[in-house]
Amino acid sequence: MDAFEKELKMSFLQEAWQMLQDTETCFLLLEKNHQDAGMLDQIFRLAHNLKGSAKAVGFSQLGEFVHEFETFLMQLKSHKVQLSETIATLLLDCNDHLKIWIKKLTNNLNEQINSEELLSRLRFEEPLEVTLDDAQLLQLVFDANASLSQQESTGAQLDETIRVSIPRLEKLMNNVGELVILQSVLNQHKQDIISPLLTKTITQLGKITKDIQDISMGLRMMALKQTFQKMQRIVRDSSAKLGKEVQLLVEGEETEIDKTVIENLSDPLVHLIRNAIDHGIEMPEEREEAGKSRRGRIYLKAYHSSGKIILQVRDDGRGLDSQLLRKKAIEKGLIKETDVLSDEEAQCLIFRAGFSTKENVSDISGRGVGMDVVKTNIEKILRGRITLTSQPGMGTLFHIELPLTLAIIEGMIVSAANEKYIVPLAHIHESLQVEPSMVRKVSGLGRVLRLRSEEMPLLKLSDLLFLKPSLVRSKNHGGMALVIRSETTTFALEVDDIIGQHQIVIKNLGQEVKNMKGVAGGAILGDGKAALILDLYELARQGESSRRTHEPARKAL
Amino acid sequence: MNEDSEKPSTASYLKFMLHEENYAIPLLMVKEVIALPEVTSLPHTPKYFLGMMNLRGQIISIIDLRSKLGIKSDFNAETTVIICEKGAYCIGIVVNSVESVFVLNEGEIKPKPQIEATNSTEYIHGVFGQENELIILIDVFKALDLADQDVMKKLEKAA
Repeated sequence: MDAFEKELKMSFLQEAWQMLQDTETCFLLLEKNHQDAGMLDQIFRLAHNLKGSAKAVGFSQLGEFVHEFETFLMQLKSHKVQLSETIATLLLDCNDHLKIWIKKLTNNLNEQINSEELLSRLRFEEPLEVTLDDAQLLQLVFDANASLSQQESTGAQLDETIRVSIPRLEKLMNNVGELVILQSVLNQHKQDIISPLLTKTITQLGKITKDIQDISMGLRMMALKQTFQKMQRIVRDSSAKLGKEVQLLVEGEETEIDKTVIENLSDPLVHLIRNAIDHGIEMPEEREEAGKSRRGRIYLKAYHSSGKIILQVRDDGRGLDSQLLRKKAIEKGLIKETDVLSDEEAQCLIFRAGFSTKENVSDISGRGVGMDVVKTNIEKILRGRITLTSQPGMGTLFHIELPLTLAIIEGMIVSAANEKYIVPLAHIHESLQVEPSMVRKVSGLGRVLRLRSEEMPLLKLSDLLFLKPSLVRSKNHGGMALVIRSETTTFALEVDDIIGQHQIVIKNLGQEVKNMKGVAGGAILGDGKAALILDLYELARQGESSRRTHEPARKAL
Repeated sequence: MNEDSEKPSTASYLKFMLHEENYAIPLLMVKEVIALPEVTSLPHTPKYFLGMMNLRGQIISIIDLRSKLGIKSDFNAETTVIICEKGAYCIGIVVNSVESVFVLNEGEIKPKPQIEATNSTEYIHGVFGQENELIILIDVFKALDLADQDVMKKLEKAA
């Protein structure tokens, strides 16, 4: 196989994958609205395209399968076969089969797939009596082709896109970042220039630079549409498995988020939705008794709000019973009998590791490894926040706040031992000037900071980083401190100085230092110097263990 | 380098100085040569790991090849950084000065002398004699990253 043929095949596979995503949505919509002839037309068109291009690039086996599939669709279209639950499942199965096929072909272009089982199912659904004569059939094909070519011509105008590889985009982003820094340097020296023309040009350049920055940031943004489509499928399959009737209502699927955020968002969302179906939505009979409609509803909503993306997953199910949650948590030893919890606190117990109220473990959910993973994924990987509100009998709402992009964070620039470091603002609870009277030395614990009747360990950043002592000693005492709080730990971090708060573009460090602990990444500061973004939780953990092991050694020094 | 020794009998090398010794690396892996930039030091790294720099928006680690190889290391106006690229790695190495580019026949490369050495000389690819000079051809990444990776791993274990 020569390079050209290979390239041709690969680009077909990419395209086919996209098409199958589209058809899946169509099938799901079709299932809801049986009479939608337009939808069938669209599926037919997509199948037809797929068949054509599969044969053109030499995947004849795939082409044959799609051909059979197309024949089947034709019968649906001509009402020879009535659309039903089983048919919809068959269609989705075919779609899945094709997806797996495409995936396998992508890995190995010569992969052979056995599709006999599906083919026989497709043929089995053929009508026993043929009511249409040949002329009518011909007319049908003709109609389909006519609408097809019509749609193709309109489709061509809409699809004015090109594919760009991510590394290429990243290169562009890097250079744009550099452009912005250079531009700010130019701006700083604008006063020194006498020529009015140059000053004016610099101002204009500034505006254009800002535009370019905005545009290039936008290039990585993708609509949530595909992720939401996936959820439709999950609702369908999970609810069928559990014998529940559930409808997913989606809003704001055109909302755009950075590609990397989207990639990491899918798993938590799947979990939330499965949980809502399994734990939230009641069985149809139970719902009727409670005076609700038989069919449960899950709302999935996305929107922009003050520089953030808000995602909401809401169900109208039974809601969370805080008494029951409390009981379970005590049983599992997560809380003590004597602990007093508010309703909200009790509801938040579901985010704890190893918590599950479900008696039976199903393959949908119930193993107690769901919600805590959701929470950590959203907080750690996506740097977002998840909260929940629930009312017994009314349902549960999960509210997720996400940053627009993972490429930029709000950071606090601090200095220690003549070097600047960046601390993510999200980690900082407050910052203060350390007075000697606030600090106490406790043997075995090190220094302790007393802040408003609360005591916390006071760690020195330069110690945590093992910076050269000679440099540290030259610095005067009584610096600034940041209070760092997470659920598990609170400590104060002493730094030489706090320089300020900035938007930080996160850069990858080289391969050779990728595994460094306590470092979340690198960034380039306004003065053009590289700086480290610190992962303080990790650093504090390291400091903790090294303090325990090195304490005697340090005293000797 | 192995990839150069496949077919073409000639290859270009970049010659540079480490203190008073001549070294050379294949020109193909040289991305660019720059003056010593402002370097931000990294915690938990060995002494020869100078830190990181900003190369037009990309963060690159800077390593002092001299102190890594146990050669006397000093900094002056001539101190230069060679940015080397190989696969996913991109590293800047500090050298005393960059001399010239020269072409040699692969056949002219002599094997490294078999001497008892205290340190591993694995990174020495061969030796090339030119006008009474001896140029040591080295594999920068062999000289650096394997050892560095080990350092990182050791730190991880300690942590």
